[in-house]
Amino acid sequence: MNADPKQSCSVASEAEPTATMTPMPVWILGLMFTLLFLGAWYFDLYGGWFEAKVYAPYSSVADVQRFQPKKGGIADTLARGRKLYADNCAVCHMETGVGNPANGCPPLVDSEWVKSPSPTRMIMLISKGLAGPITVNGKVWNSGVMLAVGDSLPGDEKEKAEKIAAIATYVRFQFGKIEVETKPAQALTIRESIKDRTANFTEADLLKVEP
Amino acid sequence: MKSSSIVFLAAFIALSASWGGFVLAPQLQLGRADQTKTVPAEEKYPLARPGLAQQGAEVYRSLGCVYCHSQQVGQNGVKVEVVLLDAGTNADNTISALAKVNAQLGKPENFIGLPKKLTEVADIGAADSIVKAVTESGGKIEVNVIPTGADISRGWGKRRTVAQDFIYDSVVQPGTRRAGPDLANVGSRLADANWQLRHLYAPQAEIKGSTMPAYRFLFEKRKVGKVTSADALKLTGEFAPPAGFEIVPTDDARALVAYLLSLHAEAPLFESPVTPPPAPAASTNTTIVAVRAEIKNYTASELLSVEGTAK
Repeated sequence: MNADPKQSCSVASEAEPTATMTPMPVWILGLMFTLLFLGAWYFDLYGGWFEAKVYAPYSSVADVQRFQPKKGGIADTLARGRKLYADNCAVCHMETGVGNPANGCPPLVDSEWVKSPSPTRMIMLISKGLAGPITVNGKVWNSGVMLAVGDSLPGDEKEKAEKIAAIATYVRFQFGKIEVETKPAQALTIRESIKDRTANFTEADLLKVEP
Repeated sequence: MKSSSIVFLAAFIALSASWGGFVLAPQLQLGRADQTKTVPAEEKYPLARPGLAQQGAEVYRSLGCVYCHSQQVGQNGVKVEVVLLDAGTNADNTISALAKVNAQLGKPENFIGLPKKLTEVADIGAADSIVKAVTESGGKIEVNVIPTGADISRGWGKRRTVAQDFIYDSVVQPGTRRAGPDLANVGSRLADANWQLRHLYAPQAEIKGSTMPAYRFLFEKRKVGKVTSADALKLTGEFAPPAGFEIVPTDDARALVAYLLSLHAEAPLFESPVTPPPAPAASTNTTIVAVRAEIKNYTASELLSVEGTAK
């Protein structure tokens, strides 16, 4: 405490700092524009305009769209038919189409009904069901009744026809090795001709129709 | 302070910009994501986890699995495979049509042993002209979109993971570190629940040299009663319990395995296109039919002949 208070004052004090406006250095301006340019360039390459459906390596929705598995072909119908078959038919005919002898459900694999040249009988059968026995590959199967699965599918008449056509396409392809797409219009026409029927078909009814 | 309002304004702008970027923008972008449909099969995706798997997600969280396992498959690119299925009735016609597109493709030896991979292109636009040439001359052709990347070649997934995969997770656990393999697709890769249980009990019993710690506390070691429990682990060698004891999974172990088996981030979605694998061929195996034929329904008299429980 013996320091001379005057000694500290002997050092010349610096000027008081003041806040004033100074022009921005040119290099900062240049850096900002460079960063902005790089940012915009990167965004253009990878941004995808913040679309939730665009991930790398795609750059826009249109780009993703081009890589979609093709729609409308037989592959698409088969995929839908497979799902519908699993939901509606596999309970009795099994996922693999081998049928269920314990319940009298006939197999679909290599069945002459599945291998029939046209899907007419199959569409009728799916639409209205079947009562009584049916002969498949020389063996009589009787499950009592096959329900009118087609009529009970959800949706209006057009949607039902689409779904039945998908099931028929899948069953014929998977179990009969017939690679022909059943068109919804075909199912619609056949369903129109049998729309007033309330009872199940019998084997004799189906045999009257051209295969 | 002279410029307090400017400082306040600058701080406000800086904080609100980061809030907008990290909270608001993702919310606007993905906040309304809902169940969608797969392409092209139109199955609903994702499905809510079953109850036990939902509990398992909590077990997964509490055990800190996320510190060593990620649940995000990366994808670097995509390749397009052009597979010729059928040359059509006039194969020469198809060959010359293909030769016009690409001299390499229009060679007769490409048409032997169909279906055959014709070529692999990086862009689907390049495949379009080939598809057009073949279909117009009566042939059949298939274009497969296959994601590529290190994770996919490791077999960890079929496509990249997208936000849609996580929409039903209340705590999203994509992970940040990979001391162990990625689990985004483990339910499809290792679908055997008993394998999963044995692996949790003794990882080294299933995978030699695994660095995963054993989760023995998820299992109960107890004396065998009259008969061995149906769900006792089938362990062999050094990991087997001493004679007269059995290892039985607790509820937590069962829930955790149910959760692991519910992880299937592989459905083909719009945002991550991938050609789904073809439907498995129908079984024409006659033994299945034969075995099924032996299954007979019980009759009422057969049931009555069994000793009744109600007296």
